[in-house]
Amino acid sequence: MKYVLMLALLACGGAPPKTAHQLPSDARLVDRDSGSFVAAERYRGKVVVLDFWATWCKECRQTIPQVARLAEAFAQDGLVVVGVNEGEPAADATTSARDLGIAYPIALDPELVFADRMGAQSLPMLVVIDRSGAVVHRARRVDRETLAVIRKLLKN
Amino acid sequence: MASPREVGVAARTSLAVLALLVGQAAADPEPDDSVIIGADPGWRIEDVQVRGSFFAQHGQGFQSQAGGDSPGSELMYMFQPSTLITVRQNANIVHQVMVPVDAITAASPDAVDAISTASRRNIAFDVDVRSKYKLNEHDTLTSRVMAHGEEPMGGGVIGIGWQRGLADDNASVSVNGSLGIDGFDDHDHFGDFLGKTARETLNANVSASQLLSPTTVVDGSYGVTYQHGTLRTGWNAVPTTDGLLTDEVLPRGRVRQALSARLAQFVPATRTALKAWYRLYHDGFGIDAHTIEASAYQYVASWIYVRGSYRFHHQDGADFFTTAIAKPFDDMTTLRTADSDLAPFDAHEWSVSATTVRGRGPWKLWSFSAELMRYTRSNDLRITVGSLSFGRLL
Repeated sequence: MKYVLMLALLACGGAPPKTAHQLPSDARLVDRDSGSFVAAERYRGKVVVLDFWATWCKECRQTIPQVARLAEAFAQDGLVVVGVNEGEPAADATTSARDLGIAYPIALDPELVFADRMGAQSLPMLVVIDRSGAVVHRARRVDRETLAVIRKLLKN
Repeated sequence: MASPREVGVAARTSLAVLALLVGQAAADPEPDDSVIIGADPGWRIEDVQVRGSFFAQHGQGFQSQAGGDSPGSELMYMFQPSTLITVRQNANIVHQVMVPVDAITAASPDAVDAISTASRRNIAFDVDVRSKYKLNEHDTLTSRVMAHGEEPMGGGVIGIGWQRGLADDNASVSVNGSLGIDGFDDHDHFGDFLGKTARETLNANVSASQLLSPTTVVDGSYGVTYQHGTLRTGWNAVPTTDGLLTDEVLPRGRVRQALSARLAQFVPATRTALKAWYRLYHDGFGIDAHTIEASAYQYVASWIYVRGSYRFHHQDGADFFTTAIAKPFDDMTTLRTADSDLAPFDAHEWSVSATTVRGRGPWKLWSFSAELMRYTRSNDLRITVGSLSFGRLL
C-alpha cells in the first residue's frame, strides 16, 4: 500500500475537530498510484501510531528505524502506522522516505496545521490514537511505555 | 471410566492441540521490546541555546549610598549571557545544564523583589544542573544541583522532586524540596568587613495541574520557604532622623509562603493561548503581596508567535520598614530596613516577545527569540530589559 495522507484540512477550509486532540475525520489519504482520495475515516476502529518526522531532524533518523520495526511487529495485530512528514514538499518527503527505508504509509502536513492540532510541535513525536480516535499517548521515541500502551490498546 | 482406545484418542488429541499451540507460538511470537526499541545511542547533546540579556535600571532607594544623597542612586546596567545545554543520558534520563553569567556595572537589586547588594561592580556566575529521571509510565524524579559564585559570595542549592501523572496524564501532582546555602562577607554600612557569615534556605513546594478540557488547563501550587542566618545585606543603610545613616538590622529567620493558581486556555480557531495567573504571598517580615498576570500568545504564522504579558504586584512593606529611624541608632536589636524591595509599593510590568518555533519556517534547526520588558515601581525604580536568544538542535 502506498498512500500519502493529505492533511491540509485547515488550509482547505475544513471544519476543525470537536477537540484539539482527535484524529480529524476530514483528513484524507491520497493513493499515490491512482491519485484518488481515501477518507482517513477508514482508521476509525483501529489503533493508529502517527510518527511526525522531517528530513532535517537528526533525532528522527534514530526514531524511524524503531517505528519501522514497530509497524512490522504489530502489523498482523492490525496496528496502523503512518509517518507524517512536516513542512516539506511531497517530492522531497517521498524521496527521503525511500532513502530512510520507510515502508509504512507516509503523510504530508505541508502547513504544519495537523501537527498543531495533534500537539506535535517538536520533532520527533509519536502520537498513539485509540480505536475511538482519541489521542492517548505521546512520546519522543519508541520506548517500553509506548509499547505497553500499544499492546493494551490492541488487546481491547 | 475411559477405555484404552478412548484414552489413546484423547492423548493423541491433546498432543495435536499442544502441537498446534506450540506451532502457533513459534509462528506468532510476542514482539520483543528490546528488539523494537534497539540499542540506546547513549550520552548525547540534544540542544544548545545561547541567550544574552541587557538590563538597565534607574531609580533611587534609601538603602543605596550611591550618589551621595539619600535616597541614593540605584543606577545599574547588567549584561547577562547564558547558555542552556540539554544532554540526554539515555531514553529515561535527561540533564539540562544552564550557565548564566552576570556582569553588573554597579548595583542595587540582583533581581526584582530580591535582596539588594552593595553598590559595586560585580561578576557572578551559576552552574545549574537540572535532571529528570523517568521512573515508569507515571512517575518522574527530578533533581537540581546549583553552584553560585560571585565576589564576595558563594553558595549552592540541592533539590529533589517527584511528579506523578494521573488519569492518562490529564492531571499531575508534584512535590519538590530544596536546600540552599550562601556564604558571604558581612559588612556594615561603612563597608567595614565584619567577618564571614552565611544563610540557609529550605524550600518545599507542592503543585497540581488538571486538564479541564482538551484546550483548558488549570494548575495551582503552594510553596513555603524558611530562611535562616544573616538575612541582611551588608552595605545596606537606614537613614536616621538626624540625617545620618545606620546599619540595617533584620531578623535571623524568615518564613515565606506563596499560593498561586493559573488558568490557561487555548483557542484553536485563532491559534491563541490565554493565561491568567494569581499569587498570594505572605512572609514573616509582615509583607503581604498580591500579584496578577495576564498573558496572550498568538501565532502569526505556523513558525512564529508573539506574546504580550502584563503583571501587577502590590505589597505591604515589612513591619520594620522605615526611612527615618529614631535614636538610639546603635541599638542592634531594633529591627529596621530601608531596602526598597521591602517597602510598600505597587509594581507594573509589561513585556512583549517574538519567538520562532524550531523546525518551522526557514531555519529548521535554529530558533530565535527577542523580548522587551519594562518594570516600574511606585517607590522610584524603573527597569528595562532587552533579551535576544538563539538555539540550535544538534
